[in-house]
Amino acid sequence: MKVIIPTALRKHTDGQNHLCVTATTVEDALKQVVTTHPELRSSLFDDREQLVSFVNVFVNDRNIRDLENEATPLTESDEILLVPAIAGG
Amino acid sequence: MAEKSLLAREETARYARHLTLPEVGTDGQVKLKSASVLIVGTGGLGSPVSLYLAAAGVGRLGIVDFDRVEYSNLQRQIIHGSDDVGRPKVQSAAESIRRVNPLIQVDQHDEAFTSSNAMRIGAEYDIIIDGTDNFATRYLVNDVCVLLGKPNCYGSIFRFEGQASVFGLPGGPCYRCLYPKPPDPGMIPNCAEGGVLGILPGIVGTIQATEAIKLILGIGESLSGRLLLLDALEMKFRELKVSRDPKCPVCGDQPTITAPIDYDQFCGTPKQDTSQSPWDIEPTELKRRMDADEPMTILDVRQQHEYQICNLGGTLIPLDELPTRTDELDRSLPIVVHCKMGLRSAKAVQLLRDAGFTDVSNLNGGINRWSKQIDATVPTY
Ligand SMILES: [Zn+2]
Repeated sequence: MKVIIPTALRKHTDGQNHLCVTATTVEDALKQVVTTHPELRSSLFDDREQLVSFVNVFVNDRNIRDLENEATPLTESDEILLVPAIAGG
Repeated sequence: MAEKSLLAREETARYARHLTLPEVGTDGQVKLKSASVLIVGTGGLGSPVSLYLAAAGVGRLGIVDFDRVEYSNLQRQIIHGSDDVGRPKVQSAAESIRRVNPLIQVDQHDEAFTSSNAMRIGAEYDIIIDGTDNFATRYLVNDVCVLLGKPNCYGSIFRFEGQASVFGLPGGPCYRCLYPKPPDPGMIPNCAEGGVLGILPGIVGTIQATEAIKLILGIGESLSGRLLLLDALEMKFRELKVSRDPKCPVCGDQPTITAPIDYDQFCGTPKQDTSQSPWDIEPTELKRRMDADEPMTILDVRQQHEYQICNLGGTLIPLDELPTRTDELDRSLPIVVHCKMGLRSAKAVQLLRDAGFTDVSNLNGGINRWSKQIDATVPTY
């Protein structure tokens, strides 16, 4: 399945706009992403390994906070989106 | 005798294409005429929003901005022209608006939108449009909208990416339901550091203006409860669901935020001449040390492309690489860290001190302030 990387974080993925993972939960998928691209870690997780509050994780069009958070199950056709807060105007 | 018409003759001529549109018509045009919209920020987003709402005949527009027009604005802030550089943005914007439509009222608020004036200014308008360029004001606009019960037509941009939604409608979410807290300064670059495609605010701003018009007319499906994401590089729009969070600190069932607060101390664009780090040094002090040839390392924590625009000849280690590259720095020398404005370097100073470096200071105001106060040949951006 695809993890869509927003522009703000693409410098940590060599410019790739998505990464492919094989995972059964959101937690699993995010772990794989920060393992293959360690520079992403500080943008996604705080010192206590919690997801930072200014990046939302969506599975397809649903926020994982409205699903089962990081335990949200995934199927192969799911798309995971990382949506950081942006402030430009 | 015929009933006095609701629109003057010059209005029926001007708005003819609205009047023949069944969803607007004369009734809708009268609604637009009697509506008032506050546009916070007269920059990339505020430009198209103001121009289109003016053209559409929204009777009263308020514009808030404390800034002056700079050359670096003109690549995207189409309400201002080359001749306006140096003028207050609200003045330049009001002139453009009047040129588009002299029949409407424009209120100029030539001041920063802060916790002390936001409620007073916001209360005068039906709808508030968030066209700001920093997290501090975005959170303020959101909170004020919730506290006053006004819709917030939200839009935000970064590089090639945009977001749009409507917050603060009854039953719908607010910005804090989506992002409860602003990020720490330096975690996310602002437009000045990250760059932005000049056309992008044109796309996102017209979406915000469209939502405002729909709310005034009471037609269509509002973006409330949906976050529209735009990736201009792929030219792809995505739509995500956003639900109201009953635990939201401002719009939740037991709100903890009951009055506007300023986030300036946490985030946003730094003000000149104010402390950014406990270890600040003034540009004049760095100049003195440089002139005296005092041994030191000047550490530049910006990105490579920023270094190419201008630099002080320092060692370049971008902030995000600093944690793994501290061994490249000489611990026996004093270190002066700088970035563009002083926020990223303040973070770097803390990071180096935490890593055991003892003589580390922050160039207050960054290379931009250096350019203004010490060496005008250093380009600003
Ligand atoms: Zn809320």
